[in-house]
Amino acid sequence: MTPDLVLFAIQSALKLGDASKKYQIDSIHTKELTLPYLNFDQVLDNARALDKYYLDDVYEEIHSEVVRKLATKLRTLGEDHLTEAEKRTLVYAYWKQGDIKEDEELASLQPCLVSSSTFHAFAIIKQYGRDQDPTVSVFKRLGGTFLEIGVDYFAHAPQGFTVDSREAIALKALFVGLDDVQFSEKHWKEQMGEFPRRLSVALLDTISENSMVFSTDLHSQSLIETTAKTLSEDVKGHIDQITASSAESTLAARKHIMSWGEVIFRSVLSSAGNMVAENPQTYFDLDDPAKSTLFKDLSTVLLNIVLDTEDGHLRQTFSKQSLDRLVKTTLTVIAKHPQLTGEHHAGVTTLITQVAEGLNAMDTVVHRNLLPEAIRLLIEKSGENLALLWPDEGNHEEKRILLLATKDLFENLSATTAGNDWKLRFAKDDMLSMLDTALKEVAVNPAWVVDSAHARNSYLGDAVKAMFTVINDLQDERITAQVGAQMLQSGLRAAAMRLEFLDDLPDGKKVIGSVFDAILVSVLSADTSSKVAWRLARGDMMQGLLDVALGKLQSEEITASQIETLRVSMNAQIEQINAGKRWSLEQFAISLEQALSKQGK
Amino acid sequence: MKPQNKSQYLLPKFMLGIIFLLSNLACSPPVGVNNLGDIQRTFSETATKDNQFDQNMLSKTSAQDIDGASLDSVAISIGYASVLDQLNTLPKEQIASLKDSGLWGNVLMLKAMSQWRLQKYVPALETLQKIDEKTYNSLGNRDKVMLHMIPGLIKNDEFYQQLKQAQGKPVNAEEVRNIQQGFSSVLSTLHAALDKSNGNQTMRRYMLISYLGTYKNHQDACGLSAPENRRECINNKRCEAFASYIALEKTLDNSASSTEFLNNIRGHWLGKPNADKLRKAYQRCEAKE
Repeated sequence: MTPDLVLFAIQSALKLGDASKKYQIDSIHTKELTLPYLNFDQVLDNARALDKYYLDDVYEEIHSEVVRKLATKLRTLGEDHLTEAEKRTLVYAYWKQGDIKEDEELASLQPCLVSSSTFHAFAIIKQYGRDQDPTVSVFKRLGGTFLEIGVDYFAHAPQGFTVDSREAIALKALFVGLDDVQFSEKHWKEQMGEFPRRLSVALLDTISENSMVFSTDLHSQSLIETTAKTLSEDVKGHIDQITASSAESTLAARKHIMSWGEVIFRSVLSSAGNMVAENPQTYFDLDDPAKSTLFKDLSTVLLNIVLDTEDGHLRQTFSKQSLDRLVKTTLTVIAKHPQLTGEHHAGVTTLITQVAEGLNAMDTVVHRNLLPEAIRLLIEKSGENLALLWPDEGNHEEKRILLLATKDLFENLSATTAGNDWKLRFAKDDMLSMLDTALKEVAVNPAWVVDSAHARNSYLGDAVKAMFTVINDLQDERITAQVGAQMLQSGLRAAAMRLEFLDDLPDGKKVIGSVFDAILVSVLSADTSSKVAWRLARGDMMQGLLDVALGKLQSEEITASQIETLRVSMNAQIEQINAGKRWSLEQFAISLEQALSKQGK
Repeated sequence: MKPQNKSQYLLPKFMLGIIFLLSNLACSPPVGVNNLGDIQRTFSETATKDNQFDQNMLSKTSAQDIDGASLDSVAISIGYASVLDQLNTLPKEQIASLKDSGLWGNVLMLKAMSQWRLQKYVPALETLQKIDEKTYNSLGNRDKVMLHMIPGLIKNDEFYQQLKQAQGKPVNAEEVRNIQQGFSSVLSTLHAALDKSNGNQTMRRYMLISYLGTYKNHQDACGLSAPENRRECINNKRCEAFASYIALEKTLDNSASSTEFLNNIRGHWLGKPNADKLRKAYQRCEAKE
């Protein structure tokens, strides 16, 4: 026991004492009370049941002739003019509110007295309605829990506990952030108390895993404080929303929202921590880090993306790893474009939201699990030339060049050709590599999708459609998804160099499609001999043939006759192989070059 | 997280023990707070008996039962008197502490309610007058609503006393009219207070039950009138009563006990044992408006 430790204990005790006093006062203030009712006779005396016939609505609803006659007599002459039997009839009829039988027991008709337990229960009154108790701040409720977590952590941490350690300062920042968050009584009953506890454990885990990252400076503290507070309030807001839209939020739904809140907290801290440590000036106002709201907005938009989709698609496709990558990419783009962190950060939140919404809204059958990476790629590539690719914050679809490119790519990869239900089914990695290639090309040359006046161009869509149609029409499983993806990328890269690949031939087909046709049909048609198939109908070989053809055509005039020359050259290769002669890709390249050059003259 | 070193594990736990011990020594609740908690408990227990008493009194017929009911009545009076006595004899330092803690309004409300139930009506209203702006602002939602309701509840109890005295003996028309108008006025006061429940559903339910209880009194008072005058009296406030019933229905769940409770109210208080007929009557009221 050291003097410092004793002083710390005294200080803690006094602080705990204050909190405890406040808690007791709040308990008294909000304690439910049984209120006494005013004086009245709960039970209707049967003699007074006759009075009810003076009520016009009771009188008007009498259907029985007998009862109506008696009731009229009562109303005009008074009960003194009725016999006991007549009175009894009216009393019976009142409780029965309809025809009665002579021998019916009154007791069976007349409701029992109000049970005392029910009446009593309705007199127990809370001080506040369900969502109105102002006394429940997160920190007040959970001070004990945080203390327990902190003690448990530091008990096992090699470095022990000091008030100026990274962990202690980080925890303090978390507590400061949570202290402003008000959960209502309803929220506590719905186990939202679990969420701050999860954040505190997540924080300590993240610091342990990223030991070089978190420092004791104001930026790290601001990051923790802001993110914790924002996510607590946003999680609360989402839970309130689902409660309002349905009879009550299910436990599973609440747990799901809280789990996502925790994942985003971990992701933002671990992904952002490093970047903030290295370049605080990029992400914070150095004079007053607390003023910066970038991480508040980023946390909110990420939670909205994963929770706010009607069918929950995005929620089902995100993981911590994909969130980590998205956060890092976003912060990298911000580093390149500091104007995105202007006064209200509308730039960065708009960017992410519009990309996510745009992709999720696509009416294509694409792999939902590639959406997180697709979002990240779009943000990354847009960040490479923001002024060109995402020029403003308004929701102008025609200016979202890479989103348009993605739409064109995905739509054409999803389509089937008429009368043909077979199509190549790409895996997630294949789709992402094609998307990456397409976005790279469009980023460099937006004319693929829009002209200088932002009117739509269909070059990208046409190119993909032309190539993919040839592949699909072959219906040949020797073209695997991976090979197909590589071929399509080769075609896009070639077309990026020569627009002529996207011209129409006299037969109406695109040049690029005809190139694919010339190569693949030769290799894969039913007439192809087994010798040729053995040699050429392999993924790497078909890719090689295509690359050679595209490469050689790029250097020549691209015309219908050149395409015909290609076909002739392919046939010659096939004859050579059938004849058992020496053959290689290099030989094909040389012979094709010669043939094209000769034709060009 | 696994222990690295036993002594490191022990030390923080020991510290935790020291901290809690010191905090218990340093943080005894404000003077009077614990006391007030006990007083609240006594009040609630007494009010429970009070609410049960009305029913028992009416359902008892044997001499023994009436004696039992008398004993209950005494116990209730003693309970409220005990609450009042404790509140009236709080030491000065406790009063100061309760004021500092923002609990003085709670004290005054308990006092006013106890005085009301002990039929000390004038002192009850005087207690309410002592609630200044600062104290009013420290009140919670329930207590603020009760503050507005108590004058109406007191008036109801005053006229209820007159009603009981008038039943079973000849009374003059003016006296009868006075009682009927008294209840009618209370109904207006309570109806106006309904908007103040401010989202507190349990308080709203209590207010609606109170309104309907007063309505029952009003109907019973109409029974004092001569037959030729009874119709106009008894049909007064009818639509408002239906509306209050419908509002009360909405504050209850579909449990058997709630259903039974509503059956009772319809039959014993509203003159409409049949739920469908009540709803139709309410719809006719709405259509007229």
